[in-house]
Amino acid sequence: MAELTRNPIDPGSVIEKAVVADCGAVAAFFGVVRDENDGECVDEMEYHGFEEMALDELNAIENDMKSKWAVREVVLTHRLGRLKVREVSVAIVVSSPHRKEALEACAWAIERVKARVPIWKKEFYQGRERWVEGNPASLE
Amino acid sequence: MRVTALYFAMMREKTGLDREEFELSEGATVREAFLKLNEIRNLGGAGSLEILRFAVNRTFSPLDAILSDGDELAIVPPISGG
Repeated sequence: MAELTRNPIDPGSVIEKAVVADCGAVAAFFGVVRDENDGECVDEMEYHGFEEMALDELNAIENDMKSKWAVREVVLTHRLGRLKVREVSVAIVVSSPHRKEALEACAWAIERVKARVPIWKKEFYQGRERWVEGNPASLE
Repeated sequence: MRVTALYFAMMREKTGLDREEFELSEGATVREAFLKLNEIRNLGGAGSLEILRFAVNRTFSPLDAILSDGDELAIVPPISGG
């Protein structure tokens, strides 16, 4: 399940979506807005996206995870809009019968999200704002 | 042919637009389209080609991809999601 949302992401609810009775492993990653970036104290972070394409890419990441690993449920959720420090910006949860696949797929997925999903973040700090420099190294 | 450029994030702020249609010669590439746009909008010049990515109809495309009439060309600055 891949989605974009403007609502707060609740980790417990997201994990619950991926838990299935015959899978003994659930691996999760949550990206959280932190209070510092490049030496500046961050007040809030605002996420903007090319939404149609971002959803296409999230769906593609889910499909790739299921073809590369024997995983069962995949939940990929990215939030858009303005977030406060400590709020969840992205959630990736994967279940599989055994832990190796879930852990590997989850780790792969966040790197893939950061490389391919067209979302940009702007930070707000001390009355100023700036776009966070994306990493050109994400170019394939 | 007519192609629509899509602007996001800092590009949207820089141009003041989220999209615009423009004319291109038949068979033009993504690179040629960007350089043509750069003549009318300050998009950072040819040097920006090293850090920008482009998506044609929502699919990442190389600079030498050929555009067709009606295509949407998204100019994708280095992404920072996740």
